Amino acid sequence: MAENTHQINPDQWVDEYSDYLFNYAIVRVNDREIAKDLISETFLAGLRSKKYFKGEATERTWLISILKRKIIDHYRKINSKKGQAEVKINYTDEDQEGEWLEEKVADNFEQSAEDNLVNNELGAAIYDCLDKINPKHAKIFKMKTIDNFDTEVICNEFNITPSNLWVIIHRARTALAECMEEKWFK
Amino acid sequence: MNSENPDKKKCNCTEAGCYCDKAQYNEAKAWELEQLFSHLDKCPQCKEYTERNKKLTELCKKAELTSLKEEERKELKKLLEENLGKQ
Repeated sequence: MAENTHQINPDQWVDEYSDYLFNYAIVRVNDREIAKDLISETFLAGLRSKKYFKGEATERTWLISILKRKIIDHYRKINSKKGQAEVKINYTDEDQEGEWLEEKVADNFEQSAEDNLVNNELGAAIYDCLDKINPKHAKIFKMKTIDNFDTEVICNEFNITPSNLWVIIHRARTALAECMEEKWFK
Repeated sequence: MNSENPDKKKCNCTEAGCYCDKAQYNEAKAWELEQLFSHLDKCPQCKEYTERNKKLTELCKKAELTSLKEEERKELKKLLEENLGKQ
């Protein structure tokens, strides 16, 4: 296969895409450590195959397609382990068995799968909007809203006053609300 | 933007916006909320902003967004740097 001449910037992957990829993964695997490992594997696979990047999709979409394969591999591994595992269920009497079955059968798999999908799309829409605003505003918004950092900590990190911080938050929120109106509610 | 003056009875639109933002993070003081609510009674524009702002907060909560910690980010960068040289 011919080597590509399209621009790809692995140096920027962590800053640009890691949060987006992490949210994508965590909704699907529901485990922070596994999600982190999947991101590492995705980046390594991206590095190995960067010469094949055709530039037909954005770098982010391309990384997401690699991550999707990593997630599928992860579930394949789990399922093959499950197949070999012994299933142990503790019952004290037969009545409890019925109770246990009802509890397990009536799980909310469909509901939670649907919720996860909606949440993931919503998360993607928010990240898309964050990509469109001033990067410094986006970073401060993320620290305040997603990571729940104290105002003081953010002010120290960026060497700004609390008043400056609230002006930035206001600008970020105004731009994001407008973008989400367009992306999510229309 | 932030007047920091609890004795002042009224606030302008810029201040109202700031108090509304602080309220989204439960960081608005009682007097700021008081001034905001009385401003909202008379200002449809700020009322609209408040509605949108509340909606944005709800969406962010619903999306259950999370992000990598700084150390985790550094680890990933290190991993990429180490392997970038091998390619």
